[in-house]
Amino acid sequence: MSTAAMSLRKNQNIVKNKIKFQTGPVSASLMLIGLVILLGLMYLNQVTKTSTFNYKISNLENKQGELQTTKDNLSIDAARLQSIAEAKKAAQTAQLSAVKTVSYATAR
Amino acid sequence: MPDSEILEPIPTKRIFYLTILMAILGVIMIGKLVYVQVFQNKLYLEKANAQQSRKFDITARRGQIYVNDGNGAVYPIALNQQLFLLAADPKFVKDPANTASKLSKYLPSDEGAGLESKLGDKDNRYLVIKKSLTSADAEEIKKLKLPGIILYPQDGRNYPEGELFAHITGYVNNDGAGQYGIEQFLNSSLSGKDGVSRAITDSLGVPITSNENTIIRPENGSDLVLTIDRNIQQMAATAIETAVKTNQAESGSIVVMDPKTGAIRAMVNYPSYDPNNYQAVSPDEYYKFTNSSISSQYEPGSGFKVITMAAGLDTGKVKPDTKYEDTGEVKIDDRVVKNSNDKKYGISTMTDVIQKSLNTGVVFVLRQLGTDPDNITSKAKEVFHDYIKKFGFGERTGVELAGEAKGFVKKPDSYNVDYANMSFGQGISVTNLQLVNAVSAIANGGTLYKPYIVDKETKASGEIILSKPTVIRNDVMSRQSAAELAEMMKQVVQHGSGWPARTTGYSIAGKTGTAQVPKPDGTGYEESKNIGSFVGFAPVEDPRFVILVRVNYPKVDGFAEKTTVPAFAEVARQLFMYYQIAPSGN
Repeated sequence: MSTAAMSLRKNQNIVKNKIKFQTGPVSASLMLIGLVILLGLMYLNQVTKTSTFNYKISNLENKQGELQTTKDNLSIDAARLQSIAEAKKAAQTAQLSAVKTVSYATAR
Repeated sequence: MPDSEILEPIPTKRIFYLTILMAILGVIMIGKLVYVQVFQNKLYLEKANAQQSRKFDITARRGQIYVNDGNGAVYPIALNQQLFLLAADPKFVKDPANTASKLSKYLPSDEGAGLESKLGDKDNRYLVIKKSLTSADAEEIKKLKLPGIILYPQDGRNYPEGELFAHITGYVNNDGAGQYGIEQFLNSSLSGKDGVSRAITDSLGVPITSNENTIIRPENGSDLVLTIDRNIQQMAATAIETAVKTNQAESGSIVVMDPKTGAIRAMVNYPSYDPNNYQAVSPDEYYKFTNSSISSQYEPGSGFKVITMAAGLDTGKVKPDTKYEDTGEVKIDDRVVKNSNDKKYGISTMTDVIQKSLNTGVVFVLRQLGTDPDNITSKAKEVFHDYIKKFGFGERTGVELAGEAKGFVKKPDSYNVDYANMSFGQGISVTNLQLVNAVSAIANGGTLYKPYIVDKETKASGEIILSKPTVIRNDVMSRQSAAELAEMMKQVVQHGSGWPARTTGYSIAGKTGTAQVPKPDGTGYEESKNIGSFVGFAPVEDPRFVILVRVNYPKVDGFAEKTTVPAFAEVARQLFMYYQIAPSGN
């Protein structure tokens, strides 16, 4: 090493301070409060989401119930329209007559 | 400093007592808290839950009932329906006259009359106006916006064919329980398992959405498809109604069975009732609710002679051409048994016995079953009793319908005359279903099946349970003796009392029965009452159906050939066409 260089090093005020992350009681409390708030918000968000879904499910179930009732009523109407009493009425209207004799073809 | 300003020191004792007092109060408070929160935890938890949450029952959906409708199609005969209960809180009814007038449209005239005064009774806080209101009517009433009028939803049932299947289905009462028929017998399968929901509620008790809500889903009931064919049921219903009306009879029944499986294809009783409006049946007509085809046991009369003959043929004691001399009567101990028409036919064969329905002939067969052919011995009674049991009499068939009777068969230690009477169908009681099932065993060559009416059960999970024919025993009688008996029964239709059923091209076997009706006090038989029956099957060479027709207390003169055989013929001829059975030329 040259003398000049040595002198330069000698005169250089090289102080390297390590940055220390220190937390006092205040900052720790603030952090804790922040964390609690964050967790609280997350919890609220989750609860709201769940409640919203529950509400949606409840609504869909109600709708399903209504549709089931409508389906039941339509099934009853359909069955009633296909009932024998209705078929008889239709046969009278169409002036159909009962089969009296049947001729059978002989199989060969 | 003035003396007055000098604060006197607080006495140490007082502080000490105060501390002790505070400590005691603290202990009491903590003790109370422990008592409330630990020892009375359950009580207060329940109180809190009662205030904040409620239990709601979730009714399972009842299974629906279907019947076959030809070509693999099914038709519903019992469906679910949303109904409403119409009620009122008279305290909030503002104008009783106007309200009653607007609601009267939805009520029968006799119920609408006193409604105004009932609505005016402000002390009554709950008045049921009408049950089972249809949703269409409920919608109309909602639109009227009548104060104090409330509509509660109810689970209901609808029977689209009305009276036609009433005795098979039964009905569901206002409490949701099945009554009579399949609705009662298979109530647990049909009703399923109710669910339950526990939900947090608001101050008014209305459930609110919450994560704490719990729900146990209901398990819906099973759907059923029956073995009944709607078209055959209708044929039978029309035929029995005509038979009852033509003969001015009190009632009647028809059962149609598949002899190769025991499946019931039709079961009708007349008169019937409308299960949609079962409340309209008055107390003196409650008999209409019972399915007399399975519940009403009766003395079958001559129709039972085929069972006696089956015993004789199967034991080899008689053959169709075995002869005996009919003197018109036969002495049993100190009693005399006569033919029903008081005639004597001289030398007769066993075929004659069935064809002419000779009482003396079946007593002859009964005697042959024992050790002494000239007397009714204990052995004869035991053998006959065994055959009666083999044919399924005296036991419930186990069909899936509520209210089945088991009939009555006297034990072999009974008097000889009792067994002589039993040989021609008196002093023994049977149900229609037992008789049709026994004749099915003759038709199919000696196999007794368990009659069944449920063809398929579809569970809520989608699992399908198909019913299979159940053989109770296949040794009721030998195939050969069954064929011989069928041939003898054919003669009844060809040349005997079953002649109205003769149908060109088809071989039909059957047996009529006109039974006396025992007096309720047990002192003999009613003079003017009889029960006519005809049980038969066709085609004899390959039986497709067995039909039993029964007509109770006809007022017109004549035996069963007049009261029941025409109805049998009507159904049988329609079945030939319906099943597309070509004539055999016999």
